[in-house]
Amino acid sequence: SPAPYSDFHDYHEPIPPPPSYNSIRNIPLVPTAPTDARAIRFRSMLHTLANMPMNWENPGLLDEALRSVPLERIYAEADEESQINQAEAASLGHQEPKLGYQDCLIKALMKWFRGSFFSWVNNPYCATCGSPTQGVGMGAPSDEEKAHGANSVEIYKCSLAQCGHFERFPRYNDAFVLMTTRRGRVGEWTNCFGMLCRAMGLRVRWIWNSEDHVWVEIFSTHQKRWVHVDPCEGRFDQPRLYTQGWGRKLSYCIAFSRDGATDVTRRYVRNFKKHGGDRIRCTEPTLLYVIEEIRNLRRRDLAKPEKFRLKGEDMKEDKELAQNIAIDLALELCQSL
Amino acid sequence: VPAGTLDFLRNNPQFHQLRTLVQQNPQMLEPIMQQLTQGNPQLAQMITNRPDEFLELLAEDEGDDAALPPG
Ligand SMILES: [Zn+2]
Repeated sequence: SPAPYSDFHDYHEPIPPPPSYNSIRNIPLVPTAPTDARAIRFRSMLHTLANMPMNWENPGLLDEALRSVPLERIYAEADEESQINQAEAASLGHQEPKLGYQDCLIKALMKWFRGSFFSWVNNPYCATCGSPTQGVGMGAPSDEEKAHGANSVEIYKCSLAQCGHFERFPRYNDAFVLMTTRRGRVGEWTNCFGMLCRAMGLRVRWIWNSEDHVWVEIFSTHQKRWVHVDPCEGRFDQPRLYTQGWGRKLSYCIAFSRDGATDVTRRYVRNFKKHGGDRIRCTEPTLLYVIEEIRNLRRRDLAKPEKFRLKGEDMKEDKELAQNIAIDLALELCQSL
Repeated sequence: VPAGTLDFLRNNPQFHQLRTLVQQNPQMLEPIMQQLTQGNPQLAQMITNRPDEFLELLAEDEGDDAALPPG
C-alpha cells in the first residue's frame, strides 16, 4: 500500500529517449527551465517534496516533541560510545576518532527510536480484540484524521468472524502527530525521526528516492560532511546499502532541507552503469535548474555571508560526491584486473 | 595485470566510467591515482611509466560511456 510520498509517482508516463551524456562532456551544464509537460510535472513534484522538511520548522512543537525523548539516557549512551571511539583511535595511534560525540548521539537516538519508541505497521492489529487484520481497501479520512494531516486511510477488517471490527490506519504526514501515533512505515518513520533530529538541534536533510524509499542525512560536525542515516534499517553512514547491499538500481536521490536541495544520487550510486536507474523525468540541465530554484527559494531571506557560506558548502559537497565515485570506481578497476 | 601496453584498459567498464568522470572533472585524476596506487601498485606503476598513453586513453571517446549523474 502506498506511503505518503508515493502520491508523487508518475511511472505511467510515456518514456522519452534517455539524455545523451556524451553531449555534455567538457561542457558545464547550463540550468534550463523545463518546457515539456513531463519535466514541468517533475518540477512541481520536487517543489512539493521540498516542503516536507519545512514542516519540522516549528520551535514550539520541536521543544514539545523533545519532552518525549529520554535525553539523559541517550546522552549517556552517546558519551560512552564516543569515549570508546576515542580510546580506539588513541590505541591505533590515530589523531581523530572515527565518530565524534554528535555522531554517537545520532546513533543512540536512532537506537531508542527503533527499539523503544516507534513501531512498524504492515497490517495493524484489531483494536477491539487484538487479532490480526486483513486489508479491505482505502477509506476517506474523517474530519479529525484530516485535521491531523492524514491524506488517506487504509481500512482493515478483523480476521475474527465474531468480532468483525474495522480497523483504520490513517497515513499521517505530520511529524508532530506521529509523536502520538508512534507507528507507520518508511514514510512515517523517516518523517518522525528526521523531526526529532531537528529537535535535537542537528542539521537534517530529508532524502527522497525515486524508487520508493526515504531516509535522512545529518550533517556531522566531526566529519564535516553529510552522513547517511536510515532509521528504518537502523543504518548509520552506509550509503552503499541500497545498491551494493540490496542490489537495487536508483535513479534519483534528492536531499531537501531548510537550506535548499541537492542531488545526492552520487552518494548512493557509486557505479552508475551497474546501479544507476534511468534518469528520464527531465533533462539534467532542467534538474539543475529546479535544484537551484529550490535553493534560491530557501535562501531568499538569508544574509549575504550566509548565502555565500552555503554556496561554498554546495561546491565542496559536489567535489566530495565526484571523489566518492572516482575512488569507488578506481577500487573496482583494481579488483577487476 | 598484463605487461606492456595499457591497451587492456580500453575495454574495461570501470575504466570507461572513470574516463567519463575525468573528462567531466579533470581534478578527479588525483584521487583516482591515489586509489590505484593503494589498490594495485603494479597498475599505478604502469600508468606512471606510460603517462602519454594513459592520457590518450583518457581522452578517447567511444560514444558508449557510462551515464554519470553530472553535478
Ligand atoms: Zn477484532
